[in-house]
Amino acid sequence: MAAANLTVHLPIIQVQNKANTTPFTCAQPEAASQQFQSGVPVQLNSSGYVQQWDGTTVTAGILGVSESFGLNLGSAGAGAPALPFGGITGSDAIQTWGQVPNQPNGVNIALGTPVSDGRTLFVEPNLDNIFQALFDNAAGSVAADWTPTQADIGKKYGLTADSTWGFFYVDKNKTAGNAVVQIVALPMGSYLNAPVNFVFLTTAVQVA
Amino acid sequence: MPQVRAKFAQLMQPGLRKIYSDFLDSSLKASDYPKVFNEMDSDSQYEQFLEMAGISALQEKPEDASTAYVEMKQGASKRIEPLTYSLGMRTSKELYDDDKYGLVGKKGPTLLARSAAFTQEMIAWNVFNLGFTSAVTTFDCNPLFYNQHALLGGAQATQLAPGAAGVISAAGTWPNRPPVDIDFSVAGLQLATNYAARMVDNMGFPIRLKWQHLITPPELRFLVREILGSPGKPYTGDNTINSLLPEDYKNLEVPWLNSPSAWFLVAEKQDHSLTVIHREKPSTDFDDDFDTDAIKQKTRLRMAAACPRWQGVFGTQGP
Repeated sequence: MAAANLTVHLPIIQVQNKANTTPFTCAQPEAASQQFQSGVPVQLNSSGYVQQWDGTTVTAGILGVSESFGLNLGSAGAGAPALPFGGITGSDAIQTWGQVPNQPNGVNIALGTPVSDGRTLFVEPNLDNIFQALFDNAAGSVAADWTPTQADIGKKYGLTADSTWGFFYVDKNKTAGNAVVQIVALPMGSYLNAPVNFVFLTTAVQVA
Repeated sequence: MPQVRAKFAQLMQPGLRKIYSDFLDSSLKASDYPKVFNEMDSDSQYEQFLEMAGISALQEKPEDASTAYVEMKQGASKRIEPLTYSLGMRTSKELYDDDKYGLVGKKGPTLLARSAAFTQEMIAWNVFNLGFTSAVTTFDCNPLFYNQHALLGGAQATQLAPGAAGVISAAGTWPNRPPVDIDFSVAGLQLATNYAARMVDNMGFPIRLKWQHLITPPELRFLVREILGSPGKPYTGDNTINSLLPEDYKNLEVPWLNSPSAWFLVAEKQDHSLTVIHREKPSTDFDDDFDTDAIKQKTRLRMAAACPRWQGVFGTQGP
């Protein structure tokens, strides 16, 4: 049966910058109900809030790669700071529990609960930033289908999310009109499901 | 954008009699927020606070009856996370060297200090500016200045609180803002004074609060002088004393308030929770760019301001 070789992949990470500097990162208010992983492509929805990339919008569809996980917000941007000088506006926690006596709006926050500031932190997919992800093939059937080789450098492929944890891999099965990345290196060599370094295609970048 | 000589041609030769610079006053004359806010240092991503209520009043016990046992009430949590603010300047080495007046680049630290001072004031005073909205909330998750703050003791607390009926607009709640905003006036100040005298804790016990600072925008300066500066009752021909004078309110006029009509009263520091959290005091750093020789200067700070408890402060938006 044709399928990806791995059921679980790894987060996309930014590994190098052509200018030898720190990658350009940004934070934007997040859309409601997002539960994406850290290290996945994200995009702005029609209202301008960050959501996980839909996997199909290949033209101007990718805002960046998330550096934070989806906050599962009750409403878009909930808790984001009231800029320019205001603080975080919500509970600043991803979870609260129980009830507060006689204060229906009050919340209990367990110490150590991760913070939620209503925004997604992401690395911009500009050409200077080189990212790394695992190589796979959603329609593969033999090892050669799932193995990147020297011949793949310079090739343009798409990204596909695995169904287990939602991590994206460079998908050899997506080419041509479905491509969003270009492979630039095999940092660990050629072997089954080896990681590949890539840049995003300029046509795929949502906000230049 | 880098600062280069073409943008500062007037500084390339000596001869200017005087340069009027915005940034001669590096500290913006004085810092206002420390006069009102409590300050604390932090070494964590966030600081978390918890409110606890006491217990209610004693209950009458008939002869030989057993004692009633009650419980304290754990209130809500409030988490405050300092945000990072930073700003930098980049000046070409040529401009840095050729500036005959030592302004561009060499004055970078002064400029950055001034920007940091302004930013800190705005972060702190935005607690007041945004205190009528959900951007600044207290333990009960209502706006800081609100007419119906929920008491942990609920309706039992307002049932117990002496004089509650004349102050509250809903059982189980207590105001630190009038139900209808009131402009700065004798009547307004008297109302606010009564609010302090009647203010209670979460179980409805009077806390005998007294306002210390009257915080106003510049637009109210003359009204403040008329109302607090008159030995007799303001705006009347009667031979009546100005009954507000014994309150000894200290007016703090600040330019950081956005509203020209909102005014506030704040108790002594130990009686309110207006707090500035310093995660990182302003720090300036410098570096030279190896390739261009440009001078880079930057300042950063991490800070938050909040007021988890509503007791101890009063605010109204005026007319």
